[in-house]
Order: sequence, then C-alpha cells, then structure tokens
Amino acid sequence: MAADVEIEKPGIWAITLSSLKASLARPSLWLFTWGVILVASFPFAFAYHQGVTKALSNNYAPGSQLGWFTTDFFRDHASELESLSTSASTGFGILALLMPLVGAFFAGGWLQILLERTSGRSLRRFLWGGARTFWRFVRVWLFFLAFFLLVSWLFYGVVFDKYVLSPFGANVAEDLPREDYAFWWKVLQATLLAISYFKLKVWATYTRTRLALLNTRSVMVAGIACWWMMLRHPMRTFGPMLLLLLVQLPVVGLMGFVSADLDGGLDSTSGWRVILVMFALNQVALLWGEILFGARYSAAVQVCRSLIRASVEPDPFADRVGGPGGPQYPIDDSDEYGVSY
Amino acid sequence: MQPRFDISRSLRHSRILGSSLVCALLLSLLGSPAFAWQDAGEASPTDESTPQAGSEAAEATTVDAEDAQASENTSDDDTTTDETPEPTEEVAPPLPPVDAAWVGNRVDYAIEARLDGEAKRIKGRLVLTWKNGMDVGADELWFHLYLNAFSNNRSSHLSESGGRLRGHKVEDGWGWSEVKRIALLGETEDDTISLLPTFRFRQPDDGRREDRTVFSVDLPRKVAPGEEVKVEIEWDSQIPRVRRRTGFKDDFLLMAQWFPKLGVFEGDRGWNCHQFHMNSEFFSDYGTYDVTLDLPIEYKDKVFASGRDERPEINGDRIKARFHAPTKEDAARLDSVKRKPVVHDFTWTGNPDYEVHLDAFKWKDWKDEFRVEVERAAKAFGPTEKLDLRDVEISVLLSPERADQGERHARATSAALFFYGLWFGGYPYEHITVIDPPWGGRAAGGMEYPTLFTAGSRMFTTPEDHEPESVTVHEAGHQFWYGLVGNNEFEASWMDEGLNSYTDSEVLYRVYGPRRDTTLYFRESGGGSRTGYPISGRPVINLLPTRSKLGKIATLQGIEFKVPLVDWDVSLPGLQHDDFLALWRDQPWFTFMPRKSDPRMNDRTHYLASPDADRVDSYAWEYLNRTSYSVNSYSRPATILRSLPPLIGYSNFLRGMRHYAKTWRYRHPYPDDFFRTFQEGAGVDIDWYFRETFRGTGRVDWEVSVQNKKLGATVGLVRTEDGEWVDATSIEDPDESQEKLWESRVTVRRHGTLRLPVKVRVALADGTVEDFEWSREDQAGATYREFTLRGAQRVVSAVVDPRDPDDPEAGYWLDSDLSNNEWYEAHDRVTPLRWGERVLASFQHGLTWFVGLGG
Repeated sequence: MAADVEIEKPGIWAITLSSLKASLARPSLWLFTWGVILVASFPFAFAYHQGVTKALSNNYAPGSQLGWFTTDFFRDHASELESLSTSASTGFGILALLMPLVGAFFAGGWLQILLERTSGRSLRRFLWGGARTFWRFVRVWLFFLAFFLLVSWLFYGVVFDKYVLSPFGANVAEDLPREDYAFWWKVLQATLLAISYFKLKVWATYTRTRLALLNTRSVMVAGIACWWMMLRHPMRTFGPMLLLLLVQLPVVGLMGFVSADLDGGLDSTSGWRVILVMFALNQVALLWGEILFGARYSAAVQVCRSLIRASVEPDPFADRVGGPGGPQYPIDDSDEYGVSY
Repeated sequence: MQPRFDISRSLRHSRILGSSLVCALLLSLLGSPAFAWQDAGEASPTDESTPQAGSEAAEATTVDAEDAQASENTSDDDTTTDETPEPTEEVAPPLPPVDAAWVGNRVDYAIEARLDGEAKRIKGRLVLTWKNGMDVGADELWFHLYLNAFSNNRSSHLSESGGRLRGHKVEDGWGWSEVKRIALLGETEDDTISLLPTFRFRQPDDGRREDRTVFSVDLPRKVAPGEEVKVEIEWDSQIPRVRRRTGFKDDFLLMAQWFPKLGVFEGDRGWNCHQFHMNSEFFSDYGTYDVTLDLPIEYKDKVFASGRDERPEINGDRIKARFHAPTKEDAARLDSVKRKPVVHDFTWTGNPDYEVHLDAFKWKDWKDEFRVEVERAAKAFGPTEKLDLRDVEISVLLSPERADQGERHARATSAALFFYGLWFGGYPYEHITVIDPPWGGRAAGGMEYPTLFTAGSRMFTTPEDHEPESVTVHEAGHQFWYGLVGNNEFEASWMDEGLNSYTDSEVLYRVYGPRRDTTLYFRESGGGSRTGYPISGRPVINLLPTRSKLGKIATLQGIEFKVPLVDWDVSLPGLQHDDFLALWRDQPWFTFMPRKSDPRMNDRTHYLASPDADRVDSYAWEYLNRTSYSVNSYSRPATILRSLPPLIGYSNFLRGMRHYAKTWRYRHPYPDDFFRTFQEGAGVDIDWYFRETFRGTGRVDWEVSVQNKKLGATVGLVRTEDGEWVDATSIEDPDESQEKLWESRVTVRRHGTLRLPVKVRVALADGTVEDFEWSREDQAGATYREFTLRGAQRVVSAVVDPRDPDDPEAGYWLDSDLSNNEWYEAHDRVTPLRWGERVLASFQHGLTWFVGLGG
C-alpha cells in the first residue's frame, strides 16, 4: 500500500545543493528568462544612450562628464532629461504591470520542466508549461499582492503606530525622544516587512508548486494547504529557501562591490572597457538571480514531493490495451481494432 | 571706473592679436601657410574678396588698423627689450575711511523671566531704555509680539503658510503672548505713566485683524531726537510646540522672539515694525541685554543664550541664570572698526539632555591652512588693513546620539568665522553657541541669532555630504550678514540671505569641496525631522517615484479607504518603500552613480528655478510665492554677486564687500546703501549692473558654435601684378596652396538683455590657445559676433566665458545655459555608454523585482 511506503526525505542542505544543480544544468532556461528581461530593458538604455549623446553633442570636453555628473549638466539639460525620465517611467510602468505575468509564466515553465523530467531541458516544454498554469498563477499573484498590501499596512499604518508606538508615549515617530530611537524604529518596521515579504514569497512558491504538482485548479485550497504545510514543517519549507537566498547574497554583494568600486573610480581618462566590465558584472549578478529562480522551484518541488501525498487519480491505462511505453488503443463498442495477418 | 577693462588690458589683448599677425606674416614670408584672425563683426559678411595670386596666405590675414598698430608696437617692444621686466607688485590703496561714530537708535534691555517647566509658560518683566537716534520726534512706540503668530491658524504667519510649518500641519501646541502691563517710567514712582490704555494691535502690512504680532502704545509726549526713555513691560506667554524657529519639544526649549521687542523708529518713515510673515524674518535696533532667567534645576549648566552667563544662582529646585549680551568685556572694548560691540536681539535655549562640545576658533591654525586666501585678501586690501582675527570660544549643543558631530559643527563654525572675518572684518564677540536641535525639534533649526544660532543635522552624515556643515556655515555666517550688518530683513531679505548665501557657498567649496549626493534608505520623517541611512550616489533614473499614472498603478499607489467600524483612515503604502525591500529592488551598487555638486553651482541652479518671477529688490512678503522668495532672497543675489569678480576683478570685489561691511557694522543699511558703499570701496562705477540685476530681471546666455572647412585649391582666373588674368592652377605654388588651409568660423551669440563683457578662448589643432573679448560696448545693439580664422590649423575647441572653479574671475555664474558655452571637435563616446549601462541595470533590476512578484 502506498501509505506504507517510507519515502526517504532529503535534508535541507541536500535539497539546496540538488536544486542548484538542477537549475545550473538547464542554461537554456535561465538564459532565456534573463534574455527576456534584457530585451525588455534594452530599448530604454538605448534611448538614454542616444539622449545623452545628443545632450553632450560637441558641447562638453570628452570625459568631462564621465566621472560624475555635474550640477550644471543636470540643470542645463533638465528638460531633455525630464522628458526621457517621463518616457522611461511610463515604459517602466507598463512593463511593471506586465512583469508579474511574465513571472507567473516563468514559474509555470520551470515547474513543467522540473516536474516532468529529472534531467534534460526543453524550451518548448518550458513555454508549454508556462501557458498551462498561467491563469492559476496569475490568481496566486493577486493573492500575493493582497497579502503584501495587508502586511505593509500592518507595519506602516495606524495599527503599528497605535499598538507599538503609543506605549512609548508617542503618536508618531517624531514624538520619540531621540533620533536613534526613530531610526531603529524604522529598521524594525523594515525588518518585519522584509521577513513578511520573504514568507509570502515562499508561500507563493509552494502554492504554485502544489498547483502544478497536483494539477489542481483551486488557488484558495492550495494556498491554505501550503500555509498549513509551512506551519507544520517550518524548517523543511523555509530552510532551503533561506539557504538559496544566502547563496544569492554573496554573489550579488561581490559583483556589486566591484561594480560600485569601478564606478566610483571612473574619471575623464576611463575608457569603454571599464563600462564593459561593469556591464558584465551586473549581468553575472542577474544571471545568478535567474539560476536561483529555477533553483527555488526545484527546491519547492523536492519539498512538496516529500511532504504532499500524491493525489489518487484513476489509472489512465486501465481501459486500454498495451502497457506504458507502447501504443495505446482504446477499446469500446465502436472500436474496430483488429489484428491482421 | 572699471579697472578690468582699462587700456593695459586692451593692449594685452591686442598683443595677442599682434603676435598672431606677426607670426602669420613671418610664416607666409617663409613660405608656410599661417593663420590669423579675421574679426567679421556682428552682421558683416565674411570677407570673400578675390584672392591675389602669389600672396594668398598673407592676404587672408585681415585685422583692423588699431590691432595692426598695436602689433607693431608690441613687436618693437619684444625685439628691443632683452630683459624680462620684473613684475611690479601693485600695492592696493587703503580702503576708504569708516566713521566710528554711533548712528541711529539705541535700545538696552534688562529682562527677568520665570519658566514654568511643566506648563511651558513664561512670565516676564523687562525694562528697556530707548534712545531716539533719528532727527524727528516719536509720539508712539511699536513692538513685536511674535509668539502670537502661533496662537491660531488666522495669524498672518500661519495663514500665509497654509497652516503648515516646515512640513508639519499645525493642529496643536499653540502659543501666545499677552502684555499685562506697560508703562513709561519716570524719575519716581509717581512719574510713571501706564501706556496700557492706548495699547493697540496693529496690522501695518496686510490689515489682517486676526493677526496679533504687532502692537503699539501712544506716548504722552514726543520723544525728541537724542532723548532717552525707559519703558517697563510685564508679560505672560505660552510657549508653542516648536514648529518654526521657536518653541519646545519635550524639555528642549528654543526661545526666540519670546519677549515684547521694540521695532525700529526710522524718523520720517515712522516705525518699521512689520507683522510676522511666512516669508520674513526680523529687524530691531542695536543695544545690550541683561537677562535673568529663573528655571527648573534640570536646566543647570544646560542653558545657553546670546552672550555669556554668569555663575548661576541655585535656589532649591530652581536656578537663576544671568546673561549679558554682549558680555561686559566685549561691550567695553573697541572692535576692528573702532566701535563698541552691540547686538540687536536676545535668544536662549535649554535642554537637560544637551551634550556640550567645547571648542575654539584659532586664527593661527586657519591662517596656516588657508595661506593663499590670506595672501589674496592682503593683496586686495593693502598693507593698512589689519587682517588677523581674535580667537573665539565655541560651544556646540548636541543631542546624545549626535554627540560625535560636535567637532564638525565647530570646524564649520570656525570656517565661517575665518573666511567671513578675513573678507568682511572680524567677529567681535568672545563666544559663539551652535545649537543642533534634537529629534522632533528640527523645526527650530537653521536660524540665526546674535552670538548663537541653530543648525540642524541627522545621524550617519559625513562632511562630504555637507550636512550639517552647509547649514552651520550659513547660520554662522549670519553673524556677519544680519548680526553685525543689521539690514531690514523684511524689506530687503536678500541683503542678509543673498550676501550670506554667496559667502557660505564660497566657504563650503574652499573647505569641503563639492558636495556628494546620497540616497536615504530606512528614512523616518516626522515634521521637520528626517533621518535615514545614506547610500552614496543617486539613481540615474527614478523609475518608481511614479512620474506616470501607469507607474502609480504598477506600484499600487494611492489606495485609500476608510474602515467603518474602527473609523480608521487606511492609506496603503503600496510597493513604494525606502527600506530593505527597496534596497534589494534598487540594487544601488549596480544602478547608482555618484553625483557631486559645487555649492556655488547649486546657487545658480536654484536661481534658474525662477529667474525672472520678481525683481530681487522687493519686500520679503510680496514675492510671487515661496519659491520666488527663496530664489530672490538667497540664490539669485548670490549668483549676481558671484558674477561680479569676472566683471570688476576679485580684489575690487573684496574691497567693495569689506568696505560695505565695515561702514554698516551695527547699522541698518538699505539696498541703495549697499550699491553706493560697495562701489565706493571697490572703486568702480557699475550702477548699471546693480540696476539690471537687482532691480530688473535681465538674463544672459552665451552660445558658441564653430564651423571648420577646408578652403580648397583656387579654381578659376586670378589677376597677376601685371594686370593679366591667368589660370590659378598655372601659378599657384603647391606649398602655399589654399588646399591646405582651413577656414574656421567661431560664432558667439548672446541671448538675453544683460550685456557683460565676455572672453572667448579658442584652441587650434597644434595646441595654440587664443583669447578674445567681446566688450559690453560692442554688444550694444548686437546679439552675435563672428570671428573667422584662416590658417594651417583648424579650431578644435572654442569656449565662450571660460570657467575655472578655482579662479573667481573666470566665468559668469549668471549664464542661464552653460551647455552651449563650449564647442569641441571631438565627441564623447564613453559617457553615453555609461548612462546606457546604468539605465540598463536599473531597468533589469527593477523588472526582475516585478517578475519576482508574479513568479
């Protein structure tokens, strides 16, 4: 009986490592997701490149604006920069509305690949998977947003002020007696929100994984089940996700540090090679983020498989002739199947 | 007189022209194509006369006769003088003498006040002795009663501010002041006459009857010119929660404008005693203060004021602190202009939590650090002017969490005392107090009072941020422009704010360099307070502050509703934060770039925010709006002043400013006094400049453009000296062919009505640099000028009004668009790449964050 089968549950370190391996082994997928964002961003970068080229024209000594931008540059090109910024902001607004949908699509794609294959990859299957679960995952996103707004309001709204600040004799942070109290108050709010955001992200990841794994349609049921699962198995559910975040941080930190250092050292004599290196560092950090995107779903699949009982569904081959792997022939009254010699 | 445009300068210019001409002639004789300038004038077409065979290079050179003559003279000089003449060190003539006699009214106060620490109430009694310094009698007395500005939302101050002060809507913590008794004191008790029956609130500016910030009383008889009267006042007041300049926050007290203060009697103009407006500050007569404060014991050693205190008297749970402003020692000595120091206001502060940092300004240290500036000043003022300054004790009052910033405040204060003192005459008092208001009390910050001022800071700042340095330098600078030179801050706010803004930016640049911009994360803001952790740099593009509606929708901004049962107004913060999440979203390490700003350029930027809404010389409360007030009081006059050294020379500028500062020390100058005294000291006649800039809205924008083209070989027929027309190619010497020559046209344009003499600097491909001037006179009726250069070298760069950040004489700061002042043959290819890279990174990280929301 299935219930008697003891499934060996891998530890959180093993899950983390294997999920990283699983994602790294599928470069076409993370290159694709990275490429989509790069392509979406490129027109804006190009517009700025052209805009700044025009603004500089023949009017600035080469390199004079490279190290740091001067007040007079911003002032004297305020209208062009404002126009560029407004266009970019509008464009970003459109993309920001679309990107969560793209995220839902990517999640479906990764889950399709991770659930149906233990190895190998197929961009076609990735796209198919993204489409298959798309609308369910959009509903997960809407739930995620609603929860996020709720916790944001809890930590930044009147409730927090009323029940946490007022015991200190203050109605608003300005009433606190010292600036360091106000600062740490803000850090507390920010920390609570960040933790809540992380939890919500983990919840949404497991909910999507459950929906794909069990191929169910109710986001509400899946969501509640995942909250319950996270509550019952906090270490197992949060552990790999936290470890993957910790894996991401040093890479982003290192690339960021070098990039910022290069940026700070730019002066009028710096050439395009430095810019190229900064570009490369940024792309490495972003690619690593995309790899970890896949790794999170790989970890979620492993955790869900170890914690969620597979659904009992009728054997699809019960009324067919032929076993798995061979041709299947339906048999019913209208079937004219026969064997000819 | 305009010494910068004297004949010697013209000759210097001609010398350059002449040298060029001589070179051209010599080179042409040697058979090499040369270059020379052709001044085409504003509207005249370029000389396209038919080239003469055999002498094209020389013929291409056309300069006017005067320049040619100058060139010959120069040439003679150069060839006949073997020895390089020793540069003669010009000794500046002494500044015009300054009259040391007292001018105007005088008022001396003796005040006793008691603070109820719990109720934040002050009851006081004062006796003032007023001497009429005008040449007409006074039959009434006018007073300021400024705490009443905070009594309700109908006062002129709060009404003009829309009920908001320093970002905070004023809904509680009201304050008021009530005069209980006012009497003219006589020789004896019987001679004392109550003035209370004639007490009237006055509204001289706007007629707003609800405003209670000015009152007057009638005198039983006129106070004759030179006569002295004593008036006694008893009053009671409620201290407001500090929302602007004065008030309390917890036990912190900043008591400014806290007692009934006499206005300024101006003879035929009557009493100058304005209501307390949103856009106005203070104006009162000079004198001395003897003030005794009765305070709760918690304030022991934690109360500071204008002047210095004597040893406090302790009586149970109370202390009595007595202050003299100026101190008795200061009041008894003569200062650098041979006058006895006085002050025109008295402010005090107390806070049991104050951490006190004691420091000192030492002339010797600063003199050694900025030796070049001292030498520059010495050169400008001449040997008769004594430059050394007195040492000054500095007390910095800080909150415990910012106690580490004491030294920085002290250095910034010292910087102001040094430079302002060096340029405008020394600070005459022995002591100065710097107050850094505590958290929640920042609304008291950034304000000047005699020998004491409020700065303002927050945690985590560095000197590169100029915070608190910029405010500290500015407010310390007000000890000179406002404190020592007591202009009418209502009617000519630019005379202190503008002069001070000019000077503070000069000081900041010299001591701290350009300011580094930062972006604050984990920002907590309440009213006037602000804190947060700074990340160096700024985003190249602000994607999320939602410039567009779509951006607002994407970041879920503006979702507001009311929860009926609990009656909560819910305003959802959306996805716009400035915390850990924002840090993760923005990835500043990949998306920010450094931005630094020269504080002097910031003045110009601010000026251009509203360059011609009003004229500078207007009443503070009559400017179009708050922006116009701040532009015309602060940054525009600063920019106008900073554009004077290129016009008249830096030494003359310093002389003019110093002479004005000395002449009007402890006096009340008005704009015409400044214009006149400045010119007297500088030895220049620039009425037109003051008229067009301070009393007009004249603007200027220079523009330069260059066209290079190769002349090409001569085609067609040319006339020989024999009068024959022959084919050009048959006689043209290949070495002298115009095919190798360049014609470069440099066009300088002036947009705007302000005519200022301007320099044009042109660089040629071989590295030669030439300077030219387009004089103010030549600009009359002309908006452009074209220079044509023909020669072997093309123009590789041309700059109109060339700038040098370290040379005060290089570059007008008034130019409203600097982006068209320079032309370079070479293009900058790398900077756009850098922008593109940062924008790409910003978008990629921003979009990745949004992808993460959905997947």
